[in-house]
Amino acid sequence: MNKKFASVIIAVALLMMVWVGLGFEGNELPYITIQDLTAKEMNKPGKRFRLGGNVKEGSIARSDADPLALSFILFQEDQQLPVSYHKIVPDMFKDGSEVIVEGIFDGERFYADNLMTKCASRYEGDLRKADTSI
Amino acid sequence: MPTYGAALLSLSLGLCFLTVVLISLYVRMGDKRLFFVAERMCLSVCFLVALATIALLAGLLKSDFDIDYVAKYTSIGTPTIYKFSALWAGQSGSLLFWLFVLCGYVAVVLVQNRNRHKRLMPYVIMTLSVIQMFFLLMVNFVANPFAPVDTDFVVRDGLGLNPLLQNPTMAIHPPMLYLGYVGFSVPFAFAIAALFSRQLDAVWVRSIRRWTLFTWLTLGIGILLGGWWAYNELGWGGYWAWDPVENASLMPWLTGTAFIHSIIIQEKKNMLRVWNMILILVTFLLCIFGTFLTRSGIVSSVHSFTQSSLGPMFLSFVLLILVVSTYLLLSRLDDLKTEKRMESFVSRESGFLFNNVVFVSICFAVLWGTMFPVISEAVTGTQITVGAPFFNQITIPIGLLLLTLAGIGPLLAWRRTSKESLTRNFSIPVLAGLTTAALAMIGGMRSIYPVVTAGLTAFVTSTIAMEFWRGITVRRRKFDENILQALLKMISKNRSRYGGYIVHIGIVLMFVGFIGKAFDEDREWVMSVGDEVRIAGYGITLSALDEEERPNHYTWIATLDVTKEGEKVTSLHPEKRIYFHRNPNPDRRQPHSELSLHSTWREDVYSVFGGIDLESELLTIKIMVNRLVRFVWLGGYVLLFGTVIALWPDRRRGTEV
Amino acid sequence: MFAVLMIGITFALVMGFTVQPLFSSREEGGDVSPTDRSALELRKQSILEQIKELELEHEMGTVSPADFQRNRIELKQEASNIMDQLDSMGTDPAGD
Repeated sequence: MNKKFASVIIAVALLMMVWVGLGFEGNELPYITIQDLTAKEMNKPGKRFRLGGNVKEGSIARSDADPLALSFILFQEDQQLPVSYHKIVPDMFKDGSEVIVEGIFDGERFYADNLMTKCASRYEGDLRKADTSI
Repeated sequence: MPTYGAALLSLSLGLCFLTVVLISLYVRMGDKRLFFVAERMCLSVCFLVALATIALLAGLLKSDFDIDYVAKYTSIGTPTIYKFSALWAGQSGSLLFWLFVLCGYVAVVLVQNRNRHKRLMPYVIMTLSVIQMFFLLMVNFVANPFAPVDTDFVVRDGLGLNPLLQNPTMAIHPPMLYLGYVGFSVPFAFAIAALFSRQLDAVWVRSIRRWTLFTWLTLGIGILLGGWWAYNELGWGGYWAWDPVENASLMPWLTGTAFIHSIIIQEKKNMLRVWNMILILVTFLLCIFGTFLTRSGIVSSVHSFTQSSLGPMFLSFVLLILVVSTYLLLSRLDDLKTEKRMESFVSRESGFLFNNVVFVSICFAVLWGTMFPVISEAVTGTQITVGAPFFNQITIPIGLLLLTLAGIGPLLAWRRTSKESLTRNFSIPVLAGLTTAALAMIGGMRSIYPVVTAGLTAFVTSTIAMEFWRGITVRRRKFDENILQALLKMISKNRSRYGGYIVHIGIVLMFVGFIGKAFDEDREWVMSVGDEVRIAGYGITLSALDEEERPNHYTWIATLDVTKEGEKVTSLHPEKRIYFHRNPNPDRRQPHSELSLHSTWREDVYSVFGGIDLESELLTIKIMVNRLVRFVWLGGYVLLFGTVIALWPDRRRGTEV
Repeated sequence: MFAVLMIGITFALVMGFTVQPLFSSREEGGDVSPTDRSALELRKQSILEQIKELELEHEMGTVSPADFQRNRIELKQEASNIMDQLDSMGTDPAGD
């Protein structure tokens, strides 16, 4: 009986693994660099990507007619990417902040449907910059 | 004070090392005096660590900015309670706090088992001391909380605590999680001790049963509080995002849940001894691994903790534990095996076993999804992440399977269940489940998961209700008690059984809350004063916009009048705040959206003040209607209540702890 | 200076507390040899509880008469085995 039991349990466990494996289909979201996004031919229409980077200083622009419509430039070292977003942004979103965007790329512009800031879950700062010595 | 604190930590490390040496000597030589000294030494370590923690607390409360940690996480203006909670706000402080909690547990274990478990205790102390040593090494050499400020000027005021963390829930959420994470060290230490001493029967399991339950409870509450905080404070309208840091806390909870179920089998039937060992080893490993995950920054998370050199250290520790415990387990494999056999698939034992397989599978799925970016990068060179949709798709069906088992398992007989019992026990619950599912479909539910979940919650609830009802009926017949007396007596006579049922009800209530998720609605609008928008049958009018200056922030307050079918329901007041608004450096000013919500059993109306354009006075407002969320919190309370019943010390039996 | 003094005092106190048992007379480890007695006692207790629970479940009607009879006989059998083993071990005054 124990043999039979063991085999059933192994079968159930294998089934679960197959199920988990199947779950990746259509849910994977490659986390890539701007260079990969523009250079590599991995970009099929409608394929979603995730990118991280910083917001370029002074690049945040909102449309007058629709304050929700937002565009900014995401940069990673020497690479730049214009991004559009049409939702409320997180509180920590501002010039220079580190962000992660998810969305699609049409060859020129990245249309994000999800924008996260790397929120300092810890309020880390540099005492030297904080001008506390006065 | 900083020198004193730092010295205490060094002294503890030395004593901790000596404890391990003495215990090893005792094991070889058998001189009891060595053991007594080691025991006292271990207690002293606990005492010294407590003193060091008090020293750091004193520094925080007195705003002693000579200590780097104090200057970084508090300021003169930080309210006292948050100066206190700053103890676990940063890395080195939380390591010290972790150690402090561990020491508290160790002291309790030592005192409770002074004259018990003579064969296990030396190894228990040794294992716990090794864990302490690891953390002592960290706070002494890698992240010393007493390190002095490294600036060349005198710091007058510190940086202060992130306003998002200035929230009572956030002040207790990390310590709750720590209580859970750290608590698993004790069952782990007993498991290792059982392996070392080859005392592999039910004794070690029995002695940690209540520890494990307590630990499991605190971890669960820690997770729930995190969700509660996210929902009530962060403003994205959900309580669970499948973020790696959240997953890291969920994984040990899942294997821990499997463990508290499967040790029942070992206690009663002396089976599954290898399996239980593996489960507790894995649970403890996941606790340490979770810390590694959150501290190393190898997976990107919105919770960006300071990335530091701690990562490799934790990984080495995980590997050390893995190697030692695997070796021990393999070398004791023959002793662990029992001749007991499973008899039938339709038995309580097999119900527990399948429950375990499913729990471990969910844990594996979560681990796989969390680590997939790292694995895929190592294999293909591209980091492939999987988001919430993956986790939902995978875990919802498995979760439903688990819910089904929660309904079936407790009503199966041990060893083998006859057909007669099956029909007797399950015809009503199956009927109740099917009826509820049908009603849900008639009521307009169309998607498969909510309908199935609704049916299953009814199924499980009715099995539990039947158990209670039959128990009460028996007592009333036998002892002539009224319903309430019978209920209370019945529960107090068999706390772990009925406490367990109540916990299951809590879980069912949470699943009811999870169904609600499928019917959430949300929208964002640009509004000016006087505008009205509609969502999910509610009319929302922006009736006023006020501004106000408060001690540490400046705020704009929107007044949203919520109406339903013309009747006024409530007014919501979401705010947009700027903290540190007087700071000359604009980078130091910090915007924060304070959400406002109106909660009922049916649904929550949840409003977020996204932003304001000062020239045009246009506001961006997000409204969400989240269904049945309250049931998740209610489920949490019920879970707490049930676990407390199961944990309550039993006076009639000599209290086994 | 004050800190140094405090450290000295703490150290002295802790060491005094710790080494105290060394001055007592040598005591052998005593019962370190393997004994299964406590395990058997625990097992007995667990089986007795299971019998009680089974009887309750039978009265409640959760367990069918057939299942009840079979399980009860088996549990009682195991209980009496354990009692026999405990008897054959004799009384153990040092049992923990």
